Amino acid sequence: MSCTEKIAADILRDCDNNPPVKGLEQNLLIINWEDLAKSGISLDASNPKELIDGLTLNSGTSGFLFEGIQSKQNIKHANEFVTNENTQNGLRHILPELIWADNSKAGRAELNKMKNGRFYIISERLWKGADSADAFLFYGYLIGLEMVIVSDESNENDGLPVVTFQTPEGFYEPNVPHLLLDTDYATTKTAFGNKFAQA
Amino acid sequence: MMEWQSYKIEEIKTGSDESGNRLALQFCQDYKDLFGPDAHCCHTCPSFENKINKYIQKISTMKEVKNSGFELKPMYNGIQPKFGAAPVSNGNLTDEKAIELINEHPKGKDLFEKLPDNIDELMEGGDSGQTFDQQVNSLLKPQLVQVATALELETEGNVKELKARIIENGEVDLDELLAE
Repeated sequence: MSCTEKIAADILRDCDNNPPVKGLEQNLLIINWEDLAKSGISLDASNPKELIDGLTLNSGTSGFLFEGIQSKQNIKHANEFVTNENTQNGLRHILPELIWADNSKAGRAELNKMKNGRFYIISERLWKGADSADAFLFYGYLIGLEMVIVSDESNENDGLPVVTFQTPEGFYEPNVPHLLLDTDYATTKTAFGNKFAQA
Repeated sequence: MMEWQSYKIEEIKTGSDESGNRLALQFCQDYKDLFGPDAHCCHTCPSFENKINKYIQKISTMKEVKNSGFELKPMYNGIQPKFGAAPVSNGNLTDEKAIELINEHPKGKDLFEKLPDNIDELMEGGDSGQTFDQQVNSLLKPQLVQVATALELETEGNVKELKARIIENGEVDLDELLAE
């Protein structure tokens, strides 16, 4: 397959039935890299670069909820295009400057664990597309995301740490984040609510 | 699920089990199992006592649940059989609801962690008058691929696409194709 591809469809607006909406729902699901094998990520046969149609975490594991405040819209993504002089271009998946809501001993213990971890992250967009089929986004399919502590200042953000999750420095994902749709929106939403837990 | 009706309300609000786990948190988990994962259960809120009463009332008025051994996968606990239908969770799962889920939901049996040994017998009981679409929807992916192959249809794609392709192809004797 060639690394250069031709586009094959018009890029059109649908302002009547499906107008664009910015923003994300203020809940993320964080999955440990080790808890989700590549074989547990089912890529859609027709659109493997764009759509994941099922996730099966390793036995006995689960994702973890990262909670924001709906009205504040603090949780967002800001993916960046990466150009390469000699190889293919790509993207850095970035969820920048998220408020780490739990400043207790337990919360800071998780913060410490995440310093050296690697993760997949799932978000839900406020814009969900027709039949809500385009609601969920999956970041870090190939490389995963790492956490950077942006700040931990006592007099800022109510004293809460601020963190950024991003594609590791020096790496890039070949494509924009995958959409995630397990059968339909309701099924995906149920699985997201249950953190894709496996018995 | 714990038998919360045998606990005093104050005990649930402030007590812990032998391992030191807060009973209130365990109660909220069972509450969500019964009323669905989106049910609100805040153990520090004044309404928590009402939640306990609501849960106990619901449990005590529930008919004896007949579940022959169906168990939903944790990630699908609280799934809706179809749009607008009441969520089904391991807390309220009955044979009838499980068979409805298998017949109505595109993932069918894939939703379940455990199926009873007599699943075929139960499905047969529930199959009376089952439409071709419902029969297709109750098949697992390997069976769908087998049917699609026998019908010389495209076998690539997810479960939903395979089911749509087989249904669109028209009614056939699935038992005969699967027996081949």
